[in-house]
Amino acid sequence: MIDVPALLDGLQIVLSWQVLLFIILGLAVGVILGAVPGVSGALGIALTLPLTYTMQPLDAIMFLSGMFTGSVYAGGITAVMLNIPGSPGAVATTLDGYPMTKQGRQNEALGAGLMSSVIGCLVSYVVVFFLIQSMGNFVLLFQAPEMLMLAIFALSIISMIKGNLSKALIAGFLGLLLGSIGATAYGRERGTFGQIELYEGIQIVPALMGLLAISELFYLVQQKFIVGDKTTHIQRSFKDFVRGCMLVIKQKVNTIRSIIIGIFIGVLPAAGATVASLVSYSQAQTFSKNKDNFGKGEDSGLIAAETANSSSEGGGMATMLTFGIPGGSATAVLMAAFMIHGLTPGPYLIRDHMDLTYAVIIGNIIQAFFLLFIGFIFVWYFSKLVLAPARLIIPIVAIFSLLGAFSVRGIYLDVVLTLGFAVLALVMRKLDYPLIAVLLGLILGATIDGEMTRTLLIYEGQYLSLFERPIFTTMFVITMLLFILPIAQKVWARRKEKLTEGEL
Amino acid sequence: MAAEMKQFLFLFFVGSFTAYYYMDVQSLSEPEERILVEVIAGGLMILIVLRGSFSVFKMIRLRNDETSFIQDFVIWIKDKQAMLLLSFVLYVIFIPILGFFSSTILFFIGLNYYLKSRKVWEMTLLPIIVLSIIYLIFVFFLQVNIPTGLLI
Repeated sequence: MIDVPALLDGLQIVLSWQVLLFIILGLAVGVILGAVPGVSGALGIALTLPLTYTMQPLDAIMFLSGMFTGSVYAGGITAVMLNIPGSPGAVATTLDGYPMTKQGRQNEALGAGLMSSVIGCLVSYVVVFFLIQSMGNFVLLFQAPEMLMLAIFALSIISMIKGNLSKALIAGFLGLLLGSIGATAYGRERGTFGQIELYEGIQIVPALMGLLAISELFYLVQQKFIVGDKTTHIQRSFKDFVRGCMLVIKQKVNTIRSIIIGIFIGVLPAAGATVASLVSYSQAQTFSKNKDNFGKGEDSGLIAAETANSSSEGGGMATMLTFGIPGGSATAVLMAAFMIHGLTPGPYLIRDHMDLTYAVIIGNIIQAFFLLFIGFIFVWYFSKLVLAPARLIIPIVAIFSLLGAFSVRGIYLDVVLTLGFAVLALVMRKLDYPLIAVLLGLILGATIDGEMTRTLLIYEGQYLSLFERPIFTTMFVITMLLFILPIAQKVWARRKEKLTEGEL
Repeated sequence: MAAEMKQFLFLFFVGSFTAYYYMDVQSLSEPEERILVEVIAGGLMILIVLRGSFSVFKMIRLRNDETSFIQDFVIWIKDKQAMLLLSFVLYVIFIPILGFFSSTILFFIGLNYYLKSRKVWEMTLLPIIVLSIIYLIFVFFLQVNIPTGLLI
């Protein structure tokens, strides 16, 4: 139910030139920072937080929120152009975005990415506006067993990866093993091999930089440009951007499904954009008529990933505002911003400052519109990267990737790990092991570890009673089907191929 | 034969790491701390044994094949990929010795020269611009402590 007086007060607060200016500034700074490999939205927000001490509360919150939105979007740009996801949430974007760039379709990919981000962000905040209380009730239904199943559900992409199944599973298990390195729930070291710096586990940014960014340079060195040498046509026209934007509007079912997945997974603490974009990508592949084209430049894969990535932002904001529980590192810093300015997110914020809550939500809806214009300016310049020679891109990407890995914690081991992951990726690519499987395992390994520990502790000795939980049971069945069906389809297809060869 | 040898070696390294990690976690007292690694290690070892057996079977079948792992490796060593890897390794080694900015200049110019860039502005102006942007974003704006060494 909408509190109309609070809504009118909120509108009055947010529709001032000062707030709108800070939204635009925040978006622009966020896009610039998010486009730098290794600099995440959370890092940028954390480091600019002190600059906002003297600002009015809503000015500060909208500036930082704009930075967050801008950096999430810009992470998708580098994912498309350079195979460098700006955040873990953009990993799924690289799967089809970068192949589109290599085919000379970078303008279409950037246009689709921009419109996906705008629509995802816009619709998610509109949903939050109307359903903020109900979304809170939904969050309470998800406890450790459901979170565990959700993370395993996200892993189901592994079974759909084209190519050798055993190699995909080996890569996935290896990623999970690497993701489990770090402190256990009891505070003891596990798999750190004497390195105290690994107590917090392997950080995602060094792994992403090594596995995706730097490993790609080993193949870029054999080409003159990012675009493959055999590509005859490179998109240069503004019409290609517009065509990319229209793709999102044409693929209504894919877009709506991705928004729903993004919002409902984004609402769950610790699940966030990464799980949302991966689940959305896998669902897009499941329901697509062009399954075989996924991973080779399929625009619906890019749209599914980016839409869910952006729409999870609204879900995460709803959880933070309703419960005071941050959905990820960036919302944690945004929460700090609220508290610094005298507002404590949670039930009391909703009860006592509903006007400010509405102002934040409406401000984020307005942000989505501004993102469209700011995004077009940036993508126009970013798209020119395909014309830059590879010999210039290689050292620049390497320098920024290694520095970005270092800037996460200021520990040099992260730089060494980045190089280590790059070597691992080079070897795996030569032997046809899918990198995405390692990445999935690495990203989800920590979540699975935490939720599994909690589930085992809560249900010690009574594991069968887990199946009395309806959401857990439903997700368990769907996850098993998602793992088994693609495997069965592959085995069946291979048998059919052998039978056909035998007949011939 | 060479291809299967590479597969087998990779599986050997992964299997060794898995076994070492498995034995390492046995020192943890609580079963909840060990179970994830034990399950993953178990599954991974099964897959490695299956895939490794397949590789060994193919190696035996292709024992008269003329391809050689050593030969492939020697050819790769002379490839641009190997040189690029070497440049990255040297760069990472020298950053804490010489300092970030000094080693980056050397890395940038050296790599550009190896990649056949002969334009003066690419070897002089471009590294300065890139380092200036890095300084502005990381040092000035984000206050990141860039690694230093003997030089800057």
